[in-house]
Amino acid sequence: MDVKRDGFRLRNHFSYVIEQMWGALVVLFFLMLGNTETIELGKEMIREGNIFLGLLIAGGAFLLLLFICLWHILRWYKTTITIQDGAVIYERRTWNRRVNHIAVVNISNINLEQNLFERIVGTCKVKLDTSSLSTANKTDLQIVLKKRDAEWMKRTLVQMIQEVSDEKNAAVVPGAGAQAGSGMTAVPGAGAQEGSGMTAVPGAGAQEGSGMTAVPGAGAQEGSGMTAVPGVGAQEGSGMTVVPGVSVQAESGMTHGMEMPDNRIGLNPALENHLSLDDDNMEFDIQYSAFEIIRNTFLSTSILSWLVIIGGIIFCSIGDITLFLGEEAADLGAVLGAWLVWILLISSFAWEIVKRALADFRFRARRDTDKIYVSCGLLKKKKYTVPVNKINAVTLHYTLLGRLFRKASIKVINIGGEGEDVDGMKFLLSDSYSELTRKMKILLPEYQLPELKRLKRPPFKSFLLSCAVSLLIGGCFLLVLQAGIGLLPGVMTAEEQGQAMQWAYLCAGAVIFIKVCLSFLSYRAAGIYHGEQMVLSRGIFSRVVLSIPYERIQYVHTEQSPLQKLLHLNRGYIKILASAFSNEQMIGVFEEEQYSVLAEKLRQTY
Amino acid sequence: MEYQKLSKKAFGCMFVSEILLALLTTVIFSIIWIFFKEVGTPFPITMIYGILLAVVWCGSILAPFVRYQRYRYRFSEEDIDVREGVLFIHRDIVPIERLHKVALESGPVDRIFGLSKVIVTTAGGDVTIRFLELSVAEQIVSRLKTRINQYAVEKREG
Repeated sequence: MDVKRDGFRLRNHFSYVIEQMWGALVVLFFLMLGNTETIELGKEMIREGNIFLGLLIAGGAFLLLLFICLWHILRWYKTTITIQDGAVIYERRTWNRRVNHIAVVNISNINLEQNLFERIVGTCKVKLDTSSLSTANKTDLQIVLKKRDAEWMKRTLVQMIQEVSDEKNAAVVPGAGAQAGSGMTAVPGAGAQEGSGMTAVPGAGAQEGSGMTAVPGAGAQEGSGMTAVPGVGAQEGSGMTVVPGVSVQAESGMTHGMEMPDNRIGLNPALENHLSLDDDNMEFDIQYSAFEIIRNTFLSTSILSWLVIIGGIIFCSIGDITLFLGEEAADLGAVLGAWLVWILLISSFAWEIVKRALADFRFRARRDTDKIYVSCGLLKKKKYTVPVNKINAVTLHYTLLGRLFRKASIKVINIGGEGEDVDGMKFLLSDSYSELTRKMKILLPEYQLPELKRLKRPPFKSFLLSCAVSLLIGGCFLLVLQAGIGLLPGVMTAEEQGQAMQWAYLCAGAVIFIKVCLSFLSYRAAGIYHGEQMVLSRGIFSRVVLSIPYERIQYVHTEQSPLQKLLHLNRGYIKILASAFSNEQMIGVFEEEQYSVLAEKLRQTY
Repeated sequence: MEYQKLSKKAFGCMFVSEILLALLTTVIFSIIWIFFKEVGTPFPITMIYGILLAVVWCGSILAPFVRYQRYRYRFSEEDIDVREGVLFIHRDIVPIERLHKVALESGPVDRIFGLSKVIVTTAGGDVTIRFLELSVAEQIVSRLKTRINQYAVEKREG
């Protein structure tokens, strides 16, 4: 670790280069194996005296390999992460210079992760998630460091965040100086995102933490014809809060490999453990037993996988029966092939189950003041911290098996926190509703679990409308098929056309039937109610019940087709601060009145 | 506060935009039509081409009338409410308190008619209020800024 005068400059561990490169190297290796002829051609050319061209042909792959290696090493060397002035500064000085400032106040999650390779090498991944939607992809960071350094970094950042929040609580609002004369009042953290040249609006929504990222030099007045207010937010640190703790640490003069002082953090000693990957001594509020984890794994499998497996067994068994008992001679090769495919399917399914069980291994959670700590994983250890105020919605997930066994799991939606689970961060594993309620009271009493009995179904006319649309779609499908068949007199005989028409009717019927069935299942799963939070339910085979506080709704969009207008129905969605996958939450088709209530409830929050 | 209607200029802008779009679609369809005519197909490609073009041009000529009549917007002290659409009516309700950014933009067709659009950004995404006269748009941006600043101050002072 290099040292700056008033901050720390970190660089990814060198193993990161190998991790980044190995895929390309393997591909190149196999390409080289398959291209021995090219090497021979190169040798031939060298023998003929055409040395330069020969070398280029024979050694082209090696040159490419060398280039890839050098490029990755250069990129690794030119990429630094500095903790300075209350911000994490990510700097990459390759072809395109890229500098991202992340104010620590906007870091929503600091997660530690360790996959198998990293465990062997002794490194650890620090993942910083920011609470901004528009800048999340540009500013969320992954840094691979030695395990000890990673833990130190997490500890330092946690301390800095705590200090900033303490300062905020003490009603000190620094960093607004840059807005002098702009006519706007700045609140740290609100900001001119990406320096896009738009008017930065501070304050409102700043708790969601929009304000980060500034690429020095990008400028606030970039876009023509736009109003720009300079200085709001994170640009070159102007809008950031300077955390005194950083410079104090810097003076300790740490260098890479030096002992990290452990006594700098005034955190709850019980939580010290959570700052490291080894948390065996830490007490958790919620711990799952092996049985509960296996049950969760079983319940979270998709019904499609089970259908494929069961279908495979039936199909292969029929093949066997035909082979051994049938009068006609069965093709042994075909039956064996079918079994082979089925074995492959079942092994991939089994691996998926094992992977899930390993990912949830020792799933534990703990609530401490305004944060929730979650730890899980065997091969890939995962630890994540969820600040309660960054949670924008809570979802109750019922898979089809879960619906049959009356077990649900809970996920929370907070920007950047989803990781591999795109539809939310895993929070509580499959359990009964009463048990989930009990656990939620311990971990997240701020959120009430949706009361399923209060859910109001959509009006039946919405289902009828959906059936009418299905009929229309089926009818159009039939018309197109009919036209297609009718317009091909030269290609088909009259008899073939007749047969094709029968198939067309069958297909259209199947389309209508499937569409109506899906509409019915969707109608059965849908629901809404307006309590202290907005509760939405939707699904087809599985069901998701979403609970969103009104103050977390960013805006409401509604749509009405002419038919819906006639029936006084409405459909729409709400937008919340979340990743692209869960940013838009569909409400479904309900009476206009439900949307009026939503608009009214929304108004009450401001 | 009452819903506001767009100015007459907005209709012109909608009409020109639709016609330009229809022209572009015609060019694309024509290329496809020529391609299939050259290659040869059992389907009556000229008839399909004609029907599609008729639909596109009818839509492009009629849509601005309906759209202009439907378009309404309302900026109150607390929220922004926009209704628009041709066949489907869309409505956006954006609390001003949730705004992060406000931008003023105008494309080439907008500029011909002296119009502009206001883009408001929340943490959940953008909402655009189109076809506003430049002076009106500037007033709206100014009002939004003032209101948002008030919110920021109120929030800070608890």
